[in-house]
Amino acid sequence: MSNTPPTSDDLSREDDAGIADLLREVGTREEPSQQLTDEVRLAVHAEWQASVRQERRRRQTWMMGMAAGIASIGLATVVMVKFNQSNVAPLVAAATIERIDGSLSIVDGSGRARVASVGEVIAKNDVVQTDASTRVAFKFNGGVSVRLDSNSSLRLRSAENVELVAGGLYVDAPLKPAIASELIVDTHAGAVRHLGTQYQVRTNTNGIDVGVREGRVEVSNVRGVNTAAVGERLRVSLAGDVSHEPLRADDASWRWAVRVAPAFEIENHTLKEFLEWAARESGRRVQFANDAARTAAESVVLKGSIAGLDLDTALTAVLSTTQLRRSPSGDEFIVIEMATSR
Amino acid sequence: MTADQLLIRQMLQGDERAFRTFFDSYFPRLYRFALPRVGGEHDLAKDVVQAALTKAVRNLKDFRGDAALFSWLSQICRNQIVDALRERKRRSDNVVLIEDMPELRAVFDSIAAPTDQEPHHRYTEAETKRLVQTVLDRLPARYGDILEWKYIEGWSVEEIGSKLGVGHTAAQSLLARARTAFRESLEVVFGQTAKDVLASLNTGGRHE
Repeated sequence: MSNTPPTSDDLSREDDAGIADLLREVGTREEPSQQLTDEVRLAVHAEWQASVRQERRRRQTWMMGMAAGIASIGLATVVMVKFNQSNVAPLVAAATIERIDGSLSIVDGSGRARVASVGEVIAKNDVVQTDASTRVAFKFNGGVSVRLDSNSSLRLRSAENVELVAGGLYVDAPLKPAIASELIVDTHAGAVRHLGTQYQVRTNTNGIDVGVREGRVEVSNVRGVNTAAVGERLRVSLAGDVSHEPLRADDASWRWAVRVAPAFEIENHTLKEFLEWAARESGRRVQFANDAARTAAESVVLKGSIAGLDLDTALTAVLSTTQLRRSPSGDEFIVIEMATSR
Repeated sequence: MTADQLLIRQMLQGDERAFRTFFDSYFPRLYRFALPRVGGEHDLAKDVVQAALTKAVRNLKDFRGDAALFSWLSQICRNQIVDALRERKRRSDNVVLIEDMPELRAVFDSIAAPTDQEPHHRYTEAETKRLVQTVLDRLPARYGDILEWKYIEGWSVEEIGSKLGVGHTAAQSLLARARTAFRESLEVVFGQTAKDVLASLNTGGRHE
């Protein structure tokens, strides 16, 4: 009969079994309902965002107060002060960080790196770098939304010009901007200029891919200027060869940009405005089953927040508070009907 | 810097993913902390937990990191519960939870850092089960969830990794750490192994 002592593997298996048996005997812990969880998440998220913004404003006010104090004693030297990893707002704000998923680092023109936060401005010569688990959304002049995918790098040349060094970039420019909103994206295979549009550009070793979801873009390269229209993907090689292929507005290649979309503030917006935002973000169009549904959507004014919810969950959550619902439809439309129909 | 302090710092920087990690990790546990203390009223538990988390995110800079984040949150929640019950003019002293007994409270509050205290109590079967679930809630990060997913729900390591957004190796490592933390916490609370705690449940519950 063997008296061999148990090995560490034996003890580990025994320990594993003991834990498993105990947990099964005790049973699972009670989980709060999904509805309750969502309600609390919305409220706490709104409070957290307000707190982050308030702290940002407090630091900027403190910095301006410091600058005024220094100027008042007649110092001739400009002093740059780092405070809690925030930078002094540059004299010309090129873009503002609207949303960060993950951890974002920025290297300025002098080669100094900093960890960036929501609400910060980025300045000329800043290089924005995202890692495998980070995406970021910016707001440029004129309301142009620019989103940078994970594993990507962007250099800011001015408020109207960026260089996509590597990775993927999504641009959403308003169709009717309040002020001029041109943004040119330089890449290693050409420069992309939007003409009131939603598009994305992605670099690869052979060149770039430019997909257009709305409007048109122009791509300038060594061979000249090429245009891509809505529903097209343009492939541009380093040598300047160009090919076109179809690209649906709801293609999977757009999904990353939806995930880092800045939250739509539903408070005091109509349901119709929210639906149009949701449709725009997901490459679909809103269709109302009848005039009654359209009128209802125009008259409902929303309260609360959808921050923290993905787009489809937000749609479901918001519609559930109204007398309207989504009707089953294809991928191209979000069809809205009265909940009492059928 | 501890994992809790890093998470708080990321939240102070406005990191959405950090907020999701914070909420998903702590809301269910705080809810389970509050529910029995408000007589099982779900709406009241929701209100006090929401008030506690709201207060916490407004005062994130006050978290020093000398205690576990859950201990800090549960203290805020405890204060909200007292205020809520006082407002309702309820007498709460007829709700005494086993884990609120002073000597056990200190043990649970220090579960992240081992203590020398050894409670000596005889627990019923129901109390033992409650204590085991409280141990799970007091473990760091989402260790309690990971152990339930693995041993009760029967999830694979890949499924656990997918849920947490990490790869296979990272998920295996988390599972191993969760097991170790759970085993050590059972030793602290019960002075026994999982097998022995189970044996006490199966022999009619009295445990010392």
